[in-house]
Amino acid sequence: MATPGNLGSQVPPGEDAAVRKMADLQRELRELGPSVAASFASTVAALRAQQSLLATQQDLLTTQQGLLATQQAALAANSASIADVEALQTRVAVAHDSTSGFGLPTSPTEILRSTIAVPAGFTRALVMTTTTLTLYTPAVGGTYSFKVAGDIQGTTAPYSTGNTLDPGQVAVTSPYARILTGISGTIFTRCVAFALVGTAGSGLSSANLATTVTFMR
Amino acid sequence: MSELSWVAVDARTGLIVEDLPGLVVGSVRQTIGRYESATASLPLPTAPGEWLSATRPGAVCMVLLSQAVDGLGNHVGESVPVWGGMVTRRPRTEADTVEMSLSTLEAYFDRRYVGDETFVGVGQNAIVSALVGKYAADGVRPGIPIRVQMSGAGTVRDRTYLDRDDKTLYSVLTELMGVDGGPEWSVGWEWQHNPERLTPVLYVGARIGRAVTAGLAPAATFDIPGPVTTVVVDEDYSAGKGANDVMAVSSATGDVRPQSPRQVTSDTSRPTFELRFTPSTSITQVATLTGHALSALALVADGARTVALSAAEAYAPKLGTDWVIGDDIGFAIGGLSSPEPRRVSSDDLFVDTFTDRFGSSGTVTVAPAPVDLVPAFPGGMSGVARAIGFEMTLGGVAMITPILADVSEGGF
Repeated sequence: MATPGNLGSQVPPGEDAAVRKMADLQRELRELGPSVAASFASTVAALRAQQSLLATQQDLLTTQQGLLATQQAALAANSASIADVEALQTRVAVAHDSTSGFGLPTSPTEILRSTIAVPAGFTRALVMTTTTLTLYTPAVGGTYSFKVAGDIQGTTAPYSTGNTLDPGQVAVTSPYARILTGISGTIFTRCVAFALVGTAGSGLSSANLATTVTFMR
Repeated sequence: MSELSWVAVDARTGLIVEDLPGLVVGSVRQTIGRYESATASLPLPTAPGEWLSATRPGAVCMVLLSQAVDGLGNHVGESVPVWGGMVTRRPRTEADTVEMSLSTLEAYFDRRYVGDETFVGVGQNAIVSALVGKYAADGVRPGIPIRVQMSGAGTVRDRTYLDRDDKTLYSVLTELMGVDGGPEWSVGWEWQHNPERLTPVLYVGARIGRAVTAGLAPAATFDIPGPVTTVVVDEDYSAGKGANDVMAVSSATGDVRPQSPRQVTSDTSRPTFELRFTPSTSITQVATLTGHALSALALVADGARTVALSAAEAYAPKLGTDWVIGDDIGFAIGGLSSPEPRRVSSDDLFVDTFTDRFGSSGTVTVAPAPVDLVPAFPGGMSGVARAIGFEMTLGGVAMITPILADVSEGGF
């Protein structure tokens, strides 16, 4: 270290001045090393404390992350369960329409139509229809034959045949069921009928269309 | 008159290993509070048989003895050791001499490290004594047979040293000396008997050496004209030697760097010269740094001013007898010529006789100006100053040159 306060520093430099200077510098360097290290000690200690705190926080975060992962897995499981439950969820809708006083043409004709809205989130449905067509023949004139069938979403069931008495009435019921998939918006059911032989019914004709729909996810 | 001779002594015991009358040393120096080095050469044709062991580096010290002799060449009294240095290097070649590097024992202090030590309210001389006793003297670990001579315990200081600071004993003692009123120290040599030994002595005190008693002349005086043949007054205001605004700083601790307030001199005859220095890396007390700054300012405020007076050793005041390092030494350089009128040129007559153009005769007396005996010192320079060191040139006619500082005189 520099020693301007020492009497020895007053002595004029001699032949060994350079060597002495070098020795002094070496000594100064040697002493500066530990000194500088010590000067940073408090900073290093603070950094180490913060590092330790961060490590603790990191451990805590890791634990919390593990806990969150467990909770996430549980939530996923629950979500799957909910999805399963949702998949099992159904909704029922019914519709009933009727008409009367119509004449039967000789080709298949829609007599009645029921439109049912598809609930949101449901894409499948078990649709069951019961179509009843009643005709009355008030005068003698022979029998009157006709066919009637239910229709679900444009697909018509096999026709059921009815023959009226003379005079008299007859009611023919045609049940039909069908599973629809990929549905949305609305679906419809219909009563389709037509006359075969005889006199077409008068205004004493009537038709009922009952629909039960079980919507599924 | 005196004779100078060299002996080799065992560095651990002080026992005489060999007399080395043929040892050639160009010059030796000694300075308060620091080590000095020298080179030596031993001619092998005349060397003693045990020269190898007598020059072993790190194991042997060369001590210069001054023996007083009377007019008949008889020894008077016991020889006085005036300088000693440890052999630090011994390169050998095909030549018939062995060369050596020598260092005064202060250099050994720079080879020993101070461990964990705490001094609270302990006198500074006692601190030095304890440290030297523990870390340089022969003890639990091999050391040198050094004795500490101190003048009381000294000013009370607090010091803490840590092994991890890697501070040598030399570094610690240097720092302690540098504080305001700090202890001066220097290593000398002394005889011990039964068995005969030459051992080092550490002189330590607020002041080592003798101050001149008021009203009395100093014990030794160097004069020119007189025994002194050459004189050099060195006034040095270069960097590190001269400053009038001084601050001592330490190494930082965290984001705080201890530093002293600026210490400035009241003399404004010079522009500001600043000096900042680090007396030690481990100082944390501002008061300690201020003490260092004050001490430095006292020495550098007017620059380093030293007087070196070289005289033939045979005729000069005897080192080790008449004066020692640290003593107040009287000096007188030059002055005016003797008051008797003298003629210094053919035209410079003291009494001139003339005849004027009217034929009258008369005389005129001219007072001659006195002449400076040493022109570089108009009017001369004398006073008393401290011998902070000396140099002894040993080739040919031995010359002794005390280095004087802290000059207090008139006409400087």
